Parts: sequence; structure tokens; C-alpha cells
Amino acid sequence: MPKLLEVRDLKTQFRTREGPIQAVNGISFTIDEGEAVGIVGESGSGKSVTALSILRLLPMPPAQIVDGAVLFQDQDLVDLHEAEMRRIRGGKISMIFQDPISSLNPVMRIQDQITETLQLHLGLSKVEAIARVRSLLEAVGIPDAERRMRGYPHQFSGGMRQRVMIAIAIATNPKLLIADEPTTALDVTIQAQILELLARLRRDLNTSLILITHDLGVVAGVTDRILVMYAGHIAERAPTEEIFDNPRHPYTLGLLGAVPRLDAEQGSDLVTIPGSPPDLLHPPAGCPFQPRCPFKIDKCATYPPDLKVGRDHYSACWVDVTNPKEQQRAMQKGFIPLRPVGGTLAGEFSAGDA
Amino acid sequence: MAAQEIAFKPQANSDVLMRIEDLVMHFPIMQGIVIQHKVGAVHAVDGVSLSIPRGQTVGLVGESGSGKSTIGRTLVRLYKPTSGHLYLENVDLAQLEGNQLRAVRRRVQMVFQDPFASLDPRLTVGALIAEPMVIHSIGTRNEIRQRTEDLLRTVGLNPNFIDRYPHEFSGGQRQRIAIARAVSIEPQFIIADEPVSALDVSIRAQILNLMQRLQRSMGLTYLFISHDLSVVRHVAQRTAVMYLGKLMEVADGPEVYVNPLHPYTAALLSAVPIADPKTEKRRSRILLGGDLPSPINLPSGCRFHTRCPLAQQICREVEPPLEDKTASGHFAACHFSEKVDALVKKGSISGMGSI
Repeated sequence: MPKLLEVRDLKTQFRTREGPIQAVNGISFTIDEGEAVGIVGESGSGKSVTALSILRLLPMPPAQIVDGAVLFQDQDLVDLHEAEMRRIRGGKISMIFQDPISSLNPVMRIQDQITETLQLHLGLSKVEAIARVRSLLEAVGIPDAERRMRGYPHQFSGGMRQRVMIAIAIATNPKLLIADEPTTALDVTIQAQILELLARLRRDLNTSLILITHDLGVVAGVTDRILVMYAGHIAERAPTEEIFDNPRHPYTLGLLGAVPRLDAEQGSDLVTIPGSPPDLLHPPAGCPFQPRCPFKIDKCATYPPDLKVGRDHYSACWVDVTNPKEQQRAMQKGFIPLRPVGGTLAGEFSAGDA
Repeated sequence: MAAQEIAFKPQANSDVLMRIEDLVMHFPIMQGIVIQHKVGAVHAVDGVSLSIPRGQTVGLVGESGSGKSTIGRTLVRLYKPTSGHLYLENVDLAQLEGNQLRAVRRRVQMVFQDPFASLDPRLTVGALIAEPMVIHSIGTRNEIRQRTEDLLRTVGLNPNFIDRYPHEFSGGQRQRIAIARAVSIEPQFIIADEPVSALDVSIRAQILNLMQRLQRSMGLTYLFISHDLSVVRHVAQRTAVMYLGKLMEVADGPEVYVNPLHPYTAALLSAVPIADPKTEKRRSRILLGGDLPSPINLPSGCRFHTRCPLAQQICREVEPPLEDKTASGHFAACHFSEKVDALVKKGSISGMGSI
């Protein structure tokens, strides 16, 4: 697959009175055409700032992209003229936000909010645009689209509003769709509908997808590859199955063990990651995870390079967490190794049944 | 209310700490400016019975609008129930007022979801944790201060933080403070309404482990209210699934998760994403169409029939009772609970053109 987006050593900071906050601190990754990549991290890890930096949607100042490049179809978006950037934003790259309630204009009819995008980016006439709105709303599964498109946002439920947001985002057939916590504000049954919809649209439109979330479960079913972010750095990146089967960064291990799984039997203690994420105004020297890490060694005082640990699998850690000796040492500091779970949930089949 | 009006009932089972009987909580909808009249009601809780065994955790699961938080708030009598009984051992909280209610509140405490909103920003941590002890006149000033420091240590915070303010703490630390405050007067029963939902993943596990440790050391009983089935399965010995003001299914242990007997439970389970791509690939899905109906105009018959993949004519007409389907205490409110197993196995995508 040809490369669609390449982020190279991106550094985004926020200037504050107390000093600069390094929200994104030198990250690099690529996204191929048609590929779905998940960015996973906790609040403050820099996952949303990464997305907003790609689209240059951050208020500047206080935000500033201090270094790096964002190559989209070999064009660097970082120093692109604002007028051209506006054509790309909502045209070739579009974004879906977490909160569909505040992302829609409450005093505009749904159809007018979508025709706006269509007229601006595709140069359609009003009549053509309205016809296209109808087919878009049908594509995202809004029943009775003809009538509903003349309604206002308050007449839509949370899940339906998110469908409208997705309709707006795909209206211009973008090459890349960035979804920032698209299901976090929704109930779990509605979340399942929206994830199914995103997966189907990606297949049908051959769009690349960046799915940003704090929920490892959400990315497990939808993405091809995962980036795990911590304190502005990419801790680990690998194909989705690799991240879950063969996690190599202590932070990834901690995250996987800290989440209770629906198919896990009771009684197992959850892994806790002690402490809390670092203050980005005064980040710790070297590896940012080092103050919380049970695998810590002296070398962690310098930031580890992106080490290749497998095919297309990189981990920014000095320690080989698969080494039994290192595991023994970490267990003395409270580390609990991951145990296999599964098979204790209705509707979950063993590999042979499916 | 006079003392003789308090309902006392002999206990059916002495192991039960809290017994909810046919609880109804309707919020009236009023219209008119000067002369107000009732034009309808939000049926937030519509006849719920549930018993909570002493020293255990009962999980109450449901989506937003299911009425689970209303039950929690009614149990601490932030609301006065429309009807029904709330027996804490043998006292009916539903009928208490004034001093008697205050006395009972010493035994029942609550932990809320959002530790940024639930702690008064103008009080120090010491004052926040001490407040329940002051209200219930427990101990001298020095004793309270000493106990506050001990409590900080118990929940894993530095006792030197006693004079700091909530804004100096992270979300996880604030939730620890909220928990210290709730256990400060040694209650028997704690209602935790989404206690970890506002927290980051790595912090969540810390708080869940802390709650379990306190339960063991203080003999606490929890009602754990959450939308997150994975968390509830991890903490609860009994799980109750709620939909639009009613319980759909109640069972002990892993029964609800392994052998669901209500199609709503099955759909809810299948919607929860699991952090394992291989498992995700071989799961069956039951996708529900549409949205939650309005709790003002409830559907006729079974309130789940508008979204149910198993619905038949009878479901639109007759409301199924919550009854024991297995003789081993697995309750479900469904006319066709024997068909749920087949539904789970084949999966389904139902509903009005939603996908």
C-alpha cells in the first residue's frame, strides 16, 4: 500500500507563563492508504494534540509546532499556506470529535450544516448538495433521512448526532478520517453501532482512519496497527495483534493488565501502575515512564531510542520485558505478569467453532 | 413523621443488609407558571426489588437513562421514593424523616462519579474528610484530626496533605479523598455511583483495588453502580441489569455473563469491546437498533420490545415478570428467555435500518 501520511519527529508545545509544556515530544509514524491506525493513551498523553497538529487546528499561540514535518501525499502541512490548509481540512482530511452535541450548530438545520461542506469543497449547487445530503444520511444509517435532514440537532439522540457528524466527515470522500474518541460520550450499545459503521465506511470508501481512544477494547476490533502514547512520546507501535499478544513496553503491559476484561473470571487482581502521569511542565529526565516503571534500570535516565523488537514492531524501552530475569526483578517491585483470559463469556467461541 | 409510622418488618434473611422492595420513583412533569399542574411523569424507577447481602458487592448495570443512579440516590434518601420500601436491616428508609433519617445516614454513605464536582473546592482535605464526623458529633477535635490522618494513610495518601485543597490533587487522588470521607464514620453500606468512570485507565485499577481492600478490612457492603460491565463483573458477587426503570435480569456470580437469560443482557454483553483482537474476531454480535425509548411514554408490554430481536405479539401486550428461570436464583424478565441462548450463538443485527 502506498504511504498516505508521514509524521516525522513532530514536536508541539504550549507556551504558558510557567514555561513550555511539551504536549507532543518528537513522534514519528506513517499511515498507508486504506489503513486504520489506533492511537491509544490516557488523558495528557498527547494523542489529541497529535491529531490537532496534523490538521493545524490548535490555537497558535499558545500552541506551537516547534519542529518536525507532517507529510500528507508528500506535501508538508506544517508550513502550508492557511488558504490551502483550509481546502485540505474537511476536504481530503476530516475529523470526528468526541462530543457530537457541541460540534453541531444548534440553530442550523442538519441539511444546511452538511450542504455547507459540500458547496465549499465540491462546488455543488444547492439542489445537488441537498440530494447528496440525503444519500449521505442514508449511508450512515439515519432512518427516514428525507424528513430528518430538515430537523435541528436537538431533535437527534447522541448516537444519531454522531452519525450526522460522520456524514459531514465523509461528505467530501476524504482520504483520511481522524476520529477523536468518537464513542466515548455514547452508551455501549450505541458505541457498537458507531464502530460497526466506521468499519463499514472505511471498507466501502477505502479511507484511511486514525482512531484515537483511551479504550484498548475499541481499537482491538477496528484497527490494523496501534500506537501507544505516553507523556508526549510513542512508547510502542506495532500491528494490532502484536500489541495484545506480545506487548514489549512496560507501560503497554501495565495498561493491558489494569483493565478488567469482560471475559475474565473474577478474583484476579488488577495490575496497578503506581503513581500518576508526569507533569509535562517538569517532565522527568530520560524515559517519562521511568518513575512509575517496575522494570526501571539506571540506563532509563536517558531516553531510549525506538528499538525494533519485531516485524513492524517498535518499543521505546531499554529493557527486554520478555526476559524471565527482568520479569523476576519487576515482580519484586509489584509487577503482575499478564495471564491468559477468555472463554468465559456468552457469545465467545473457541477458534474452531467460528 | 411520627415514630409509630415507621414500618418495621421482620427480616426474611439475616444475611441481607439492604432489601429494596418494589421501589418506584416517578418525577412529575409540571406545567403552568402560577398554577402548576402535573402533565405527566418521568418513570425513572418503576418497581424494582433487589436484596443486597451483607459484606458483598452488588453490581447495578445499565445505560444512561436506565434509572440506576436514581436508585442509588433514593437509597441515601436524596429523593423520597414515590412508593416502595427500602429496608436497611429492619428499618424502612423510605418512611424516615429528620433526626431518624440522619441517624440512618451514618450507616449509609455514597461515593460519586466526578471527584472534581463532589468535593467542595473551598474546604481543605482535612475538613472534607472530617465533615461527616463533625455532623454526626463523633470525637473531639484532636481525635478527629488524628483519625483524619489515619484515614489519609488508609487510602494511600500522605497525611501531610491534610491542609491542602482539592485542586492540588489529581482525579485519582481526589477519588481517594472522597472514599476516605465516605468511610470516615464507619458506615455499613456504601453506594458507589460510577466511582471509576471519570478516571484514567491506569488509575482505575488503583481505586478498584483500594475499594476491595477497604471492603475486606471494614466489612463494607457495596452497591456498585456502573455502565461498565467489565468493571462490574470484576467487583460484584451479584449483578442486576437495568433497562428503562426496571430490572431485566439478576443473578449471582458469573451467571449473567456466561448464560444470559435476557436478550437485553445478551446485546449489552456483545456490545462491550474486548481488548483482544483474536477474541473480537470470533465473537457473535447482537446489534440493537434504535435508541432508548422515552421514560415519559413507556412502550406497552415489555419495555424492551421496541428494540428486541426476539419480540413477538405477546411482548407488546403483556409485561413479563422478573422470575427465577433456573430454580437456582437466576432471575430474568422475559417471555422467551429459553431462546436467548440460540440468539447469543448466532448473533443478530436487528432494528429499524440502523446499520
